[in-house]
Amino acid sequence: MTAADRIRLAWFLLRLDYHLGNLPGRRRREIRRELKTDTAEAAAQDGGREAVAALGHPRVLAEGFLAAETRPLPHYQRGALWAVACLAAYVYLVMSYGFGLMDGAAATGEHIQGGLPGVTVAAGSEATALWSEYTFSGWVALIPAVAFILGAKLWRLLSRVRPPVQAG
Amino acid sequence: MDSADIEGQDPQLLKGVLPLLLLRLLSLGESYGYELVVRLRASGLPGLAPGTVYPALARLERRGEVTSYLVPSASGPARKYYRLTGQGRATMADVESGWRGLASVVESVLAAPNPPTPEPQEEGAS
Repeated sequence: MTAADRIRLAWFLLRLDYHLGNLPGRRRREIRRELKTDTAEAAAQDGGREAVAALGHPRVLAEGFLAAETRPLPHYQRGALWAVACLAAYVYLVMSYGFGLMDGAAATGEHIQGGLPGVTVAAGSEATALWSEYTFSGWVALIPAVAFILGAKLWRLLSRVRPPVQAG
Repeated sequence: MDSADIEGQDPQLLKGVLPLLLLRLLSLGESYGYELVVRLRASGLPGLAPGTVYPALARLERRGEVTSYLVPSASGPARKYYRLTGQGRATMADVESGWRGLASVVESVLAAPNPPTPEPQEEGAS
């Protein structure tokens, strides 16, 4: 294979891997290795560009591999998205709360302390500046963790293998 | 109808029989993905895309009808070979029997004489 063919194949496998995101890493590596070896042989006979093109679109090929699985798979990418979104929403809520306390401190000229689940917020007003201090509890880590579990449907890892479906 | 026509007109037809073809080829000996593609192309499916064959092999493997193993290669990553299992052999026999039955029905229906082509009616005829 030429250097251009190798880059073409590597780019294809990278996109395929992205679409195979819900498969376990070990299975994805197996698929990549098989395609890499076989496509190198195909490239020697048909040409690199043709050999990669014959694999079709990476998304369609990935759908074929995913459909071949005999049990429902967790949605890892969706789980990660849920985790980031929930953490971002929580941080936004805490920051808004902190700014509210700072406004209160500025109005009263006193130190104010408050809290939300998982965080304690203190705010104060000095002669030259407003300040706020956030003390997070370890429980905050549960927010993205739970979101990931729910979004990814991780309990599917415990599901039993579907009974074989007879061909034909 | 030649093989190219079959592939061009109805990909679903090929997709339906591909597992049977793969099981049959593997019953003749262990093989790897691209070699199976080459053999199927040589058997009359010249336009067969490897992207169709790998998911079909994965499906057979997940069902336990074929098993796989790696053969180390001096020139690159290990190659994945497939081997037919006892369950795969039983499935192949079942599906082959079903296919032959269906094919004979289709053949008998297609072998019936074509009905006479109706004469075009003239305009104004009552």
